[in-house]
Amino acid sequence: MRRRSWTFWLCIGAVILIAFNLPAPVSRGLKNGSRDVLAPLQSLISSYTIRFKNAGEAIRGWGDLPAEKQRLEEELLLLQLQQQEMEELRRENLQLRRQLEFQSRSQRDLLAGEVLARDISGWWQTLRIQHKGSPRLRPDQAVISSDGLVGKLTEVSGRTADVLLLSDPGCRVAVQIEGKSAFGILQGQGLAWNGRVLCRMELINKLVKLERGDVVRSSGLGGIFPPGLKVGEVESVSMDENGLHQSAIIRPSADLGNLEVLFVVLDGEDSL
Amino acid sequence: MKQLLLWVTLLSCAMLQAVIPAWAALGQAKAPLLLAGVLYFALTRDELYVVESAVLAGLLQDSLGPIPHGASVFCFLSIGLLVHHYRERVFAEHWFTHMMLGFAASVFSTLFMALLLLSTGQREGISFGFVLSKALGMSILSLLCVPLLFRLLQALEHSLGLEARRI
Repeated sequence: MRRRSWTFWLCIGAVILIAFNLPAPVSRGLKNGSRDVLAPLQSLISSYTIRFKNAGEAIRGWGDLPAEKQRLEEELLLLQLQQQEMEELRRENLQLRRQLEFQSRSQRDLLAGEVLARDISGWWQTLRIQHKGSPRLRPDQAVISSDGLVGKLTEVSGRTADVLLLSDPGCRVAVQIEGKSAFGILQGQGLAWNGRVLCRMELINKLVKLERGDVVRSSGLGGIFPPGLKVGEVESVSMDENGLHQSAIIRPSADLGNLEVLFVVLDGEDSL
Repeated sequence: MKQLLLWVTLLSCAMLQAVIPAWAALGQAKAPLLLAGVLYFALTRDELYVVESAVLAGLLQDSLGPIPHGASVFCFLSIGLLVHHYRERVFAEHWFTHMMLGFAASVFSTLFMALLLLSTGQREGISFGFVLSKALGMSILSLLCVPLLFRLLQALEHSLGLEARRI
């Protein structure tokens, strides 16, 4: 009985030691393999969760349908007007480009991915997306939604990829304020108690006058994120403790708590 | 059948834990479903099952997140074996025991992970307040989900005819 017990505890110790000391490639391979194997199951559960959530929202919004209809009609009208203006601007833009012999910038090359799950432990601000096995995906590529920058890829496996969100303290983006020569570094600050995403832009020139609502875009200086991606808007501005720079609290444009489909900005000749 | 139940339970717990959103108000705490699964098997199975469930749950948690491999395995094994060792000194069938075990295990696992992540430099920007609020959030969630999972698994085992003998 005692010998069996010794063997038993020895095995447990060995399991722990092996698990703790797996070489990085083996550990990465194990993680990627298990993620790929579990991806279909996660996709299934994720789709049912979305359906469940949508059903709940539909039930909650049942009584507001007439008001919602009116709001949507107004929004449609507004969008149609905006589209007409945009069309006019596009024509004018094309004409000017031709006149100045500017080469038109081609669209960014994007790859869509469906959100499968969030970080299982809650220690990181990450998402897992499912992709169709593109060989062009690699860590550190920018990830966007239709509203703006979401984060960057960290791990890529055959079918899934992990996205480090803007709200994570480990995610830093070189950014600039649109229309002003104010550059800085944006860092995630986690989530507030009410679920609001907090990001802080630091090292901003103290002489530049910032205002609430100023648009923040990626500057492209860090070498990871392509320039021009909308990141968010300035919410409040304060002077650093040492008085050398300004800091600003930024509200991300993308709703990081409610993401279903994301796009990875693939490396292209024109995208970086 | 017991093996199948163990695997299905832990896989389902892992999938659900990954999908359920974190509780932002309390340190982004996640419902500790995998931990609840390990506690269930620690109270109702023999040592080999406890080790199997803890290793599987740990590997699942480590593989599906950025946590370094082995951290959750060690944490779940420690909790599972400790609970299994003292299972005869507690009212293993009572819901209050399940709640208290879930509470204590959540606090332990949160503090252990915080220490590990800070000491290995895997995570920056973790404040004492954040860890405290996360531990509180996890323990509150475990007060709810551990007895619930126990009830669910007991009912499942009853319907499958697996509940004849408690270890």
